[in-house]
Amino acid sequence: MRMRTALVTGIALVTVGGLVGCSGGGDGAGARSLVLVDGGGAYHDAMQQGIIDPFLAGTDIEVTTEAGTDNARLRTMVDANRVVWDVYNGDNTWGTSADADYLEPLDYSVIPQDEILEGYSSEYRVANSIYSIQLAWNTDSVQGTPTGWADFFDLAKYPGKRAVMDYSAGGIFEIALLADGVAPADLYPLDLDRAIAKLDTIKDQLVFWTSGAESEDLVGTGEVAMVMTYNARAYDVAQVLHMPVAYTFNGQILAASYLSVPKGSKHVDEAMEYIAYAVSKEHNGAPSTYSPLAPSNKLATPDATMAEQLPTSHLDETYAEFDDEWIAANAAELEQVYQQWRAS
Amino acid sequence: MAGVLTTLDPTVPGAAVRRPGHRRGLGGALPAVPLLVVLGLLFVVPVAVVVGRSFTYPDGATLANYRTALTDPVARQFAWNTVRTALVVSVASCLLGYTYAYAMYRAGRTVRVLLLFCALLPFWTSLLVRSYAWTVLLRDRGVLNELLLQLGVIDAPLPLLRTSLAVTLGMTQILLPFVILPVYAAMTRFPPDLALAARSLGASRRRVFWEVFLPATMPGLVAGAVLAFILAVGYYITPVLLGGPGDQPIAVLIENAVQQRGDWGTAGALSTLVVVLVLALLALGWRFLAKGLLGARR
Repeated sequence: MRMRTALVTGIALVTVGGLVGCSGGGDGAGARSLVLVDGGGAYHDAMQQGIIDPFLAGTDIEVTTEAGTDNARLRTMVDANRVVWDVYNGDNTWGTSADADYLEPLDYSVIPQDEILEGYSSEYRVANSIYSIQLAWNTDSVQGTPTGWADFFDLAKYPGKRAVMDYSAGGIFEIALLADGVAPADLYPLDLDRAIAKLDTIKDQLVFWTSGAESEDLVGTGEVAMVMTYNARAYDVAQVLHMPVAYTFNGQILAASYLSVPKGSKHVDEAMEYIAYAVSKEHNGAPSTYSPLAPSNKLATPDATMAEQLPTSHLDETYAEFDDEWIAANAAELEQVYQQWRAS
Repeated sequence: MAGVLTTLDPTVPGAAVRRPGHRRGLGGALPAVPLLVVLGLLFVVPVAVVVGRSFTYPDGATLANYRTALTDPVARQFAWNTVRTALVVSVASCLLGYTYAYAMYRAGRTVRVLLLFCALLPFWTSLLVRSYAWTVLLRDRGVLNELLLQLGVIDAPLPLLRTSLAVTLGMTQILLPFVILPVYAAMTRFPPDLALAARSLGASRRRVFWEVFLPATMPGLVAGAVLAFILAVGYYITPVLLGGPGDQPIAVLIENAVQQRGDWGTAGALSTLVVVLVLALLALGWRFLAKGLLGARR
């Protein structure tokens, strides 16, 4: 009996708390505000200094930032109709047509779509920066200069361990196919059997990393000879931490981080305004002052001293691009094949 | 300290004095209500939601998620990794934990307190930090390999990190206290008269240990083993950081299903199967757990 009373009291308290929370949000409807979520860390710092701070200086919109993008949490918010995020700065796997149920269509009457690089804007998302997956190596362990993914898979020429991203949609199949001679334009649909066969040739030398920081540590300390990692991570470990690491843009796979608006956001107008600002030719180049993130706006000017470090400055060399739509449509199969191979 | 434990223990003759404030029936459980409410709201409700989704996601009543979970060779492989690791770690924890508890039992007061302090040390460091500490020790350019290389014992780094050995070391260290404490408690409840009686009837010291002491303290050991196994089944960070491809736990698949694909159905089914396994083990080991953790009182 008492137990039941206590339970009811508890539930009542939670419900009241929820109601108070709602009314609190309602009060704020008059003031213009938005909540922005990104991955945090150095990426956020670059965005904060390059985009958010100058945006705040010229607007009445109040911006709250949160670290920790989480696709599952976003889906849950939308499903529960309690959306607290207004601008979602996700990676390239998020925001394709597969996620249409969870996103507001972008307002391209405000956002300058014609200025965005070809292929980097669509109904639900627009790229705000371009990065890439590239090959880096420890210069103490590796004799010579690797020039692309074929060298990553060449144990005779470059003995030693290799570290790869532990993620089926992160580019591991792509680098195997590129190393095996598949032309970048012919990557998709991915020939998974062929990729697995190629990966098997170096499997006993592979180390799997789960965070960008880990990839820096592995190659920086010489725990592995070579690593596939984000260009910002290769840059950080080599140029900022001054570890014995070098990297090549040849064979890089271009990817982008994207801005999107969760469906049911209470601040859609403010979100569109922010996104338009972030990808505008005047401001989109600013984050490159702090981190090697290339602008997605064709007319934007990146930081001059960083230009050499940007993926988009090396498009005269071989490069590939992720086909996010294909990856999203085949995500379950990719994951299945990947885990089966990895565990066997 | 053992003296205090013994006098409070109702199994020891003369100690089974009725405690003041001791009430029969459910009324005695009232002070536990706040915690029960918290557990109910923050644990039982979410678990029920996860279980519910495993039968209803994505659309309507279905067993499809269980078909996927039970027939998927990858899930089977990861489930086996999880159970195998948990078994190895429980056995290792039992062997080391029993020996350690026995040393505590035999030691003098000062040494015993010191040993207890050492056993509890892992509790005071974050799980993540401890797991990363093992990577620093075991990696190719880690402390251990560098030392062995410097001493000329080996010519090339031993593969230690990203192996089952590393997972076993890391998890056993963390789970040892869960075996040591119930085993030690069981040992302090062992009436010394029994050993003396056996000795006076002509049993050797060895025989007294194997035929009197060990069986009498077995409930504590089983309780520790069940605890260690159940906790090991749920481990995620340690096997991911320390293990190789063959050591990845089922939790990895559950996380990927939710995080990458938003597939609450498969994630729910896999989670439910793990919960069922743990509950089944609890049911089997409950008698020993209750006895090992609370004493012989019914």
